[in-house]
Amino acid sequence: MKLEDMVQSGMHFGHFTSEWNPRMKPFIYGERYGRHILDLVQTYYLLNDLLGFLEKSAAQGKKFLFVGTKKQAAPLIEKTAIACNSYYVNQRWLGGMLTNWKTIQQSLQQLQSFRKAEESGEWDLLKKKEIAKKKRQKLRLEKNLAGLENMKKLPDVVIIIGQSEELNAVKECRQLGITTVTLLDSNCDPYLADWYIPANDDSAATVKFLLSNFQDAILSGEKINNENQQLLNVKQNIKKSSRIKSKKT
Amino acid sequence: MHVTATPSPLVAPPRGLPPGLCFRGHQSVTLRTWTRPRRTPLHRSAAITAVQESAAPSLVVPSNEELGLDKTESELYAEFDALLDANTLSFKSGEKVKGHIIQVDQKGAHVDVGGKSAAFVPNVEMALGLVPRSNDLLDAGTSREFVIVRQDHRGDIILSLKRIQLSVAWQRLRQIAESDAAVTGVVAATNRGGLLVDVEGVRGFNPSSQIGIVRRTTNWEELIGRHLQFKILEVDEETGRLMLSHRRVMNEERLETFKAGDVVEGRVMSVKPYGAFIDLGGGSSGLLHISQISSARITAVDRVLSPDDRIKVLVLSQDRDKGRISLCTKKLEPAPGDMLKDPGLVYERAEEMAAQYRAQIAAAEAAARASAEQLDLEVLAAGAGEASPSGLY
Repeated sequence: MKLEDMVQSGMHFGHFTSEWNPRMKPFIYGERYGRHILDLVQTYYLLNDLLGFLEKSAAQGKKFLFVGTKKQAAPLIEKTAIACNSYYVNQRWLGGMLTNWKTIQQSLQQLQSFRKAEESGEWDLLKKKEIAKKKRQKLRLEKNLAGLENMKKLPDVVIIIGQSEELNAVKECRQLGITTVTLLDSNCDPYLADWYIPANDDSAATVKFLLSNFQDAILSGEKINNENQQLLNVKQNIKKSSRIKSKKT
Repeated sequence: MHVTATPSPLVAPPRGLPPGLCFRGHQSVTLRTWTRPRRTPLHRSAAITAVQESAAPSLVVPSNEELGLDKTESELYAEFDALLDANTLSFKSGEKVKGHIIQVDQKGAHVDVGGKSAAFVPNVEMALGLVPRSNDLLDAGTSREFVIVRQDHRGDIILSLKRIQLSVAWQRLRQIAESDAAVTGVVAATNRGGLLVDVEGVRGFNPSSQIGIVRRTTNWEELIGRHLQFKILEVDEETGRLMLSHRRVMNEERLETFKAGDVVEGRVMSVKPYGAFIDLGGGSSGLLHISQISSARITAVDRVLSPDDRIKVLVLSQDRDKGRISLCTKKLEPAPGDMLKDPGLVYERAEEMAAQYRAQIAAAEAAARASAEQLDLEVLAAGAGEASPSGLY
């Protein structure tokens, strides 16, 4: 991960100077073409820091949720989340997705039952219009909740691309005390973030670069977690067998 | 480039909420002091470590060097400055830029050109002519060259593919014009002056006089939608002029069916105050000017000729460039005024008279050549001696 790659992907571009959030002052390096330039040297250090944190959390078995609805980010979010066994929201963030998790869970169960019914062939017994109606309902649920399937409880870390667009997600996480990782553009608020990366959130190349780094970190952490789990199992088996032996004797 | 560089000190950014500010009772986040990151071996419980040490491969901790953290801050800032200078991007309208297509939706395509955000190619700018569906033309994930149209008020860049294709199309048309090849075009519309034709995606004009199809009425609307061959008369990209000629293509196909001095049988197509247009067969037509009909004076052409008359005419000359054939019946008259009195006689003796005419022409040419040679000799002689025998010089 080099400074050169970061600059070439356009990570240093901020918004127009009139559109800034003054709280971003420590992270702004200068101005060019009427736009703010983000300080990528700080980003570089913060990113290294963050990747360590992600790997550590993944090794501890924590779950991640990726959030990003921008059209540059949406397909990348989906790809990355699926690749590292995490969850994602890349369509509209429904209000209360985390704070009203119980209700969302019900919708997820509904989606699950739709899937089962379709696969098992229950729907073939219904009339054409009813089938069409069910399909529509399923599509609607899938559109917003596809990334949250199999999520059993609230995630431990939420990664947000585009703070200004996903403000609802940010607020919900803060309310629930969930750790957030945010990309901060020059118009974003660093007060609202736990872990942050000052970067250009409008550039597809930047998002791709960062997400691929996140993915690598999370995957290597998960690998360690799996190894740990296996070793734990081995250890437990050893204990069990020794207990059994001692009982016998 | 003026850069107001204020390298910010790497201080801990303000975390949590400033005192005295209440934000809906959210819990304040504890201040995290910023430190230089170190890669420490990951935390593992002692029990697991004990088991692991015997069996599992040892954990590889990347060194600071591998992470690139060996450089000092000032070195990194210097590098950053250099990279910023090297990577200055200017987006001026009219410039070409290479872009990677991210997404194609109903209104157009979003393209990454390396700037702040993705640039946009609207549907209308995707191709010459109508764009049925943007999905057909551009695929996400491909790279292409675009032309920058403008930057809108929000700083987003609008791109165009059409303009590149247009300049390519004009280039091709210039080449075709130079090589004098024929192009296929489709007739799009008609107007008072002629036909509007789409050739290579560019709209060109074919004047009525240059339409090679011979007919009495000038109702060209039947041609709309037909694919015809055209030759290019004029190409000018700046003014957007593209003049075409269908007639030239037609003429060339007929080759030199007629030579000057041939007698051809034809049918009168239309009669005008200045003469008559004669259809010579095979799509060719020529003008029989009022002055060329007879040696005798003719006041009105329609007294002598009417449409659909079959007549024999002598071909005087052919203008290949303009596709015009000049005709004459004057020379076919055995006696002056015969065309008015007895056209039948003229037609009978047409071949004869034509042969006479050709002989006359040949003789005249020979005489002209001889006198020209004579003049040359005289000039040479004059050059040698001081005075000229004719006293002209």
